[in-house]
Amino acid sequence: MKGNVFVITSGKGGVGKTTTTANLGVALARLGKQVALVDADIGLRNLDLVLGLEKRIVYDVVDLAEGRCQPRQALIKDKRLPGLFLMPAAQTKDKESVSEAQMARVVHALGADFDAVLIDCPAGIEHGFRNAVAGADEAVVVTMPEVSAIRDADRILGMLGSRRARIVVNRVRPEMVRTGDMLSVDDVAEILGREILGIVPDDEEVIDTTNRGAPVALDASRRLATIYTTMARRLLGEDIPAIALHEDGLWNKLRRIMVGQR
Amino acid sequence: MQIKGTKSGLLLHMHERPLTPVVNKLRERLASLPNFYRGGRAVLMLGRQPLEAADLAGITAILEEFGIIADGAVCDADDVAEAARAAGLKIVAPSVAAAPRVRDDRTEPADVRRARHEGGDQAAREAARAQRNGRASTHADTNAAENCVYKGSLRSGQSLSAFGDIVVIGDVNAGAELIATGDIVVWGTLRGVAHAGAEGDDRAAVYALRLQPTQLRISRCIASAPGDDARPVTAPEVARIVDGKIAIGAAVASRDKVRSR
Amino acid sequence: MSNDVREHREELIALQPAETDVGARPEPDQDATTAADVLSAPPPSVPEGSDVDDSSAMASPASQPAAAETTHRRPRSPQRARATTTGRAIVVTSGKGGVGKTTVTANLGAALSDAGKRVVVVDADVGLRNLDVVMGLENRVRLHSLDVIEERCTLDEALVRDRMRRTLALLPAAQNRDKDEIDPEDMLDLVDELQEKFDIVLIDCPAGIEQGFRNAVGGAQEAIIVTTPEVSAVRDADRVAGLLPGDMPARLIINRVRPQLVRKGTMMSVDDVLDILRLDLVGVVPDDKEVIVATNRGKPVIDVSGSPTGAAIRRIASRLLGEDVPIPDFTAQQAWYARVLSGFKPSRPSTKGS
Repeated sequence: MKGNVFVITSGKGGVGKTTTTANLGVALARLGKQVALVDADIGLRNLDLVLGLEKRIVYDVVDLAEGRCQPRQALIKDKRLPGLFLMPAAQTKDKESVSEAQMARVVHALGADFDAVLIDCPAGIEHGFRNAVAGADEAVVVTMPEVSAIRDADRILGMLGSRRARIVVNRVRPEMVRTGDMLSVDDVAEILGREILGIVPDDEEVIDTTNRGAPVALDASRRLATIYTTMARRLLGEDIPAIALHEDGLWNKLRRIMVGQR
Repeated sequence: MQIKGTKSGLLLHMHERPLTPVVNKLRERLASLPNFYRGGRAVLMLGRQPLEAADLAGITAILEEFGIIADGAVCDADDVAEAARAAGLKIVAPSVAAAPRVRDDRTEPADVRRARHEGGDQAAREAARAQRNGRASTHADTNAAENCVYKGSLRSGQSLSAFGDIVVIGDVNAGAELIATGDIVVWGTLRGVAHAGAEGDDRAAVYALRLQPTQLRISRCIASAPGDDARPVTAPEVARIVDGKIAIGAAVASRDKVRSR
Repeated sequence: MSNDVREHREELIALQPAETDVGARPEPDQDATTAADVLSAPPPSVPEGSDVDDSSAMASPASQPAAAETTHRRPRSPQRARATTTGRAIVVTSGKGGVGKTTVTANLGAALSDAGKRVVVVDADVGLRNLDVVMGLENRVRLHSLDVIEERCTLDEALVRDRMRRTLALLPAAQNRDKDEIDPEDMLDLVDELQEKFDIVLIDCPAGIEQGFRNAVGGAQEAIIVTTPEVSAVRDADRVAGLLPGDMPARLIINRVRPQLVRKGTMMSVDDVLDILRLDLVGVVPDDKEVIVATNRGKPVIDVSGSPTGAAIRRIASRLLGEDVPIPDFTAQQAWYARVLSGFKPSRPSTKGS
């Protein structure tokens, strides 16, 4: 199956777009798919760092768009998983170096060769955002149960046109939801009015894995890996219903609920 | 054949053979906008299929006619490189083809800062205006070596390239890059990417007080730092090509002793 | 340095023209280019019909900055006399999103106001405004900066006074407009006018390094870069530091420090961050889950009693006003408490303290 192109966006910075892109990519590859991850944050690239691939960058998406290399040269093959590839952004250029038309061309070409293409979108709604969205069929909007993040996610949803958009609620802290200090996932879903792709609990180990370039989804024994796998399967079109969250559960109960039926 | 414009010049993709129809298409394309590219530089991307030096001469002649300087050729095969050299073209690595000369995207570029220091605000404003309007003027005399001594550190996203050697007195942070046709010396910590011998000089070297690069490139060789940053860097080191691979050794005053890694 | 070198250097300094004050700027004339112009010039465009990509930028002449052509805009003011101003315009930026710029800006504004200054915080995130929400003022926002620029109202009419602090005000951003409808000179103009009424102007910069960033920086005289002790954030902060004007003083705040993680070795230390960024450190702010609670309620975290985050921001405000307040070493402090609470276990010698 030649796949869909997904843009992972948010509006608000720092909610976990890059981490989500990396982990979803890993999860898809572990399911045996051929996945291309594209970093659209030109000038502020981070996807390569999160994947631990920064030392292997030779060509980047701007080189490809300007015709200085072939597509295969700009794709870095991850040595840990057979189907995972990264197309890095340029660091020494700015977002105006690439046009929406160029990005769309690059991304469509990848879509023909890969089962899934995930585009890591920069924060904001400026040129970089428009570039990232240009070639995408569907969107994944990452948000947090926090006022500013939801407001920005709402704005972003309005700028995605008629594309299908699903929500990832990231960095949820169930104990704070219980004490009323944090919005519940149901609240978020109601405000944004879109389908939920997944719910990811806050986990301080994520910072460590980010710093070390080893996305948490690589480790099958971690609860987060299971959550990302479920999200990956939903991206591929599987209909895995989510059971309503009970916020007063323990971590294990939470995990069972979020994984849903198999 | 494709003409692509970038901030540093034209890239002419000429992978197909025979070249004669390409030559004709080029003339047509340039004739439709005769003065648009005048004064600029072009790099020919010649691919790997064999070609005749005579064809190449035809191309450079047309470029000259329209006032375009053929700066060099990127060749993916040795015989193509031979022919390019015979036609008087410099062999250029893709990264130098694309790299701007000296690029400082601070809001006040180096020329403007220098002008301000020498002549005050009025001079700075004139320099800024000139910078914006006169891009072509910086490409004159590309054959002269221009060694570059940069006093200061390079931050992520900054890029410095030169035809000649580069000396940086300061650090080069991760995300910054140095591209030189000659040697590179960093009197500080090199954490970014350094490409020495960018036009194919295998004898070029990269020196640093603390050599901790994300990636090193010398001529056509590329090497990334092994493992993580746990390698204790306590002394100045130099990287060179030894037995076809990049090797790092202590930079001793009298002779570099470089071991293969 | 030997004596001769030092004397020689002093001679040189005496010979150089006097440095301009941080507050003063050269007089702009009609067609002069300033740093702001160089910032705002868009990439030159290419004529139709050639096979050249949109990104080509060779021989075409530079074009005028693209301001909205059909919307009315207020005339650019002639140079306001800045020579005697003691006001300050500080942009709070980061590159990376989500490191706490908006929270820091709002809380610093409140802290500086408590210290007796007249402060205005400017939301430069057109289209994704959040400063009003963090300050709990979203229900009072009626007009915004673009209304002022397009002369639909005066600056005074657009300002929103804080509910609790009389000397603190907010200039909101528009929510349904785009950042490229403003350029750095518009910001400069607004800031100039604000400096007539306020001692300190704090500009909350949007994430990224695009037009929004350039606009925010264009109005400022000083910068505060906010980062967290993570590789990506530091990388982005470095990028931003390299994009600021060469003569703009820039200082660093390291936010969301978690001392336990630093000690475990899974988070960068203050020294690790400074080794790369080499900026003047104006504060280290520890992480605290109270911050998100306060933000969600529109309450400044400096008003939450006992919050180490709030205390740290108050210290930063003092330092900005020139007080010499030492920066505590959070890792050492925590280690001490941990030692006391868990009995006498062998501990590492404490690192350099305040």
